[in-house]
Amino acid sequence: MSAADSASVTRARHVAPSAAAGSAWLAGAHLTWLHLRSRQVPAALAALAGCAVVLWSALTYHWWHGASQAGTELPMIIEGCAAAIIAVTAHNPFGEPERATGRWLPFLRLGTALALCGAAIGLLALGAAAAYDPQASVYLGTGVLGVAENVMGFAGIGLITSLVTGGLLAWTGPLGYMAVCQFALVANYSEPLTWAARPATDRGGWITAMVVFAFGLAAFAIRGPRVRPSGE
Amino acid sequence: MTAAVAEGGRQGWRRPAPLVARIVRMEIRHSTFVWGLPLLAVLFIFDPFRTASAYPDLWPLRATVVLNKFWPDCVPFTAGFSAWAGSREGRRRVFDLLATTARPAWTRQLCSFAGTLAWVLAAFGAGAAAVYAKTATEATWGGPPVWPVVAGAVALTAVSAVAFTLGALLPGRFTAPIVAVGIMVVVLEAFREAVSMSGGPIGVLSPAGAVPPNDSGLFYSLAPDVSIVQVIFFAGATLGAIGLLGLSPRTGGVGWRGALAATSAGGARLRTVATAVFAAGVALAVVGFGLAGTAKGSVIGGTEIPLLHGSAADRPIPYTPVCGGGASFPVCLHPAYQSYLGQAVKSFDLIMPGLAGLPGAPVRAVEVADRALPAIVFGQGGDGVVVGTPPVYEFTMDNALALIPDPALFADGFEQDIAHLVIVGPIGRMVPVPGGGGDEFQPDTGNLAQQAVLDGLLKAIGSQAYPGNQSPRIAAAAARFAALPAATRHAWLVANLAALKSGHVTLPQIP
Repeated sequence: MSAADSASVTRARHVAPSAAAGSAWLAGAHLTWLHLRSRQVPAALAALAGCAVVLWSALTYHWWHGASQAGTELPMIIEGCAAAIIAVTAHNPFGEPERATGRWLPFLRLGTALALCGAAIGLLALGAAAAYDPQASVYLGTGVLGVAENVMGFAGIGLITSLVTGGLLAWTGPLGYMAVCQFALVANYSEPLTWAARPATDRGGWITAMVVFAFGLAAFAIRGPRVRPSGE
Repeated sequence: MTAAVAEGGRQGWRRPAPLVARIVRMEIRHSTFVWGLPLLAVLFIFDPFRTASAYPDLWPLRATVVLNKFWPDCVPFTAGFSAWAGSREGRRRVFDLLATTARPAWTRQLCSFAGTLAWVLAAFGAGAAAVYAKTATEATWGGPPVWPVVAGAVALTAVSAVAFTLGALLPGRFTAPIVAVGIMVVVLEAFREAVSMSGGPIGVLSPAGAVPPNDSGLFYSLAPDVSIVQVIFFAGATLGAIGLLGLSPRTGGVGWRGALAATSAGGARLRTVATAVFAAGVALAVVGFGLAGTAKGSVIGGTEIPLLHGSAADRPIPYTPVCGGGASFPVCLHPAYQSYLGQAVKSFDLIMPGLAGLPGAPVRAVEVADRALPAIVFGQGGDGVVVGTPPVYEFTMDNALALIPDPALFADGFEQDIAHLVIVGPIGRMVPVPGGGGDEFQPDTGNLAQQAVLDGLLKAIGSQAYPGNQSPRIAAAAARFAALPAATRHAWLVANLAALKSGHVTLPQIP
């Protein structure tokens, strides 16, 4: 080996790790993007933005007023819709073979679900903020706290449902539970299990919602949605 | 092979069901609506069934639960699973695979729709049957109203058809939840419109609405006008959605231009049928919406559609009252309230001995339709009026019996009302608002002495004081009057009622 060769090797030793790291980051980003696309996350974000627009127009055009019972009913439906959208992104279009692709899959599932929950809360809060006009009694009665509690709790139910029904039918969980909470709201029930019918500042409701969300998120990240023979 | 052998072979042979029937049966067996049934059952037990069981046992009132409670519960499930079924072929991307099937795509889609709809209607019918079966064991008069079930079933069919068509036209994994929530929001807003009594067509077309008064459908038959309009509108929506499904190129149809072109592909008969179904649906929906726009309040309560309203609907329903109580003070009720006769008699039996023989005191009580009473009585929460010679207490059960009946409130209400009528007079009057702007209700709670005597009488029988009488001075005088022996109280009232009513008795003068 000549001195020139030696210098070349030394330079290579210095350069190669950073290039490899860059390429690893690129590969990671590419993998994440492919994962998000396979779950139709861009479409989900568009649908969540649609929910925010509905919330904004409902507030602006007085579909309901203030913080009364009726003021909680419609936001809860929209939050249920957002959670159902998040739950449906759980669907894995590749079936069983995807489980053999590496150790990053649980982290990708976890990150996707968390990011979508954050996006849903943020977009709905944005919709409510855009319409905010307390002088005209136009405001979200439950506040952002209520939005966060319901979106995360409902999404937790959706993720748990995906373990049983598969991703595509996971919307049945949040929507069914939301229907129960609507009844609880109208009937003035106040059980922690129907947390969405309780005030947004209620500690019992928050604990229940967060336990459901944490359990759903962990189980979904580790196990993934059920893959049915039909592919659905 | 002989003829006998051939005949023997035919004995075990069964004619196969038509292809469409077999496909529908297969769709019913594989429908995902089954996933929603347990949750729907839980909702039904805790919401409509429990609510209906708590209502007074009157057929018309309990039947409202079918549309006001159970129907909205069914909507998100119906819409979600119908959209899911409709989006199946698009979601699985099997259009090419199915392009060669012997039957048109429209037929195939309608079989899938029928499979989901069968479950929806079965669930709705089962829920309505459970509510009616429970009512049948308790109601003492009348029979099950059919129109709420018919209107609810047709409206659910429309929800299913619209959701299915949206699912077929916009297939995707997000379609089902978004369609379910979208239709739920529309239903909620229509309900709000109906409850606000704005009289607009959307409120009239909403199957879910306000709970009517207790008397509704007892003294006068309920006109089916609104139900007929709802059936027309939702039948139109169903046909429109099905026709659109047949025309859409996404589901094998020929599209708008194709429907109008004689030479386009897809089959002339299919094209004609789809176009005709769509046109008929739109026409029906427009007619239904237009008729709903002409709705107005009925003289017997509720809403009527002038074009559909028959004069027979406003005639009273004949009935034989059920009576109870002693000969000194008979009480007669509509037979539908027979189960409340004992409570009513007990209530009057407590208060009437203290009032009997006084000027203006009634000699019997008779239930009448709320519309037969002065509007001020029904509108301001009164139970009845004393009319005629000899005086008769005519009352309605509308205000006396709460939606969720409470025996104590029921008894106290009658006692307070009849004692007020005898001691003070009518519950109030309408007076012009200063500066114009119509009339307003001015309650007449009586002067201090009248209030004290009234409350004393009520206190003596263990009833609650008349609402609004809160002064400690009145309470002290009432307690003093209540402590008197019954005969002394009655004798004082006989001697002093005229002076008391004319305002010539002061609080200290009450014994």
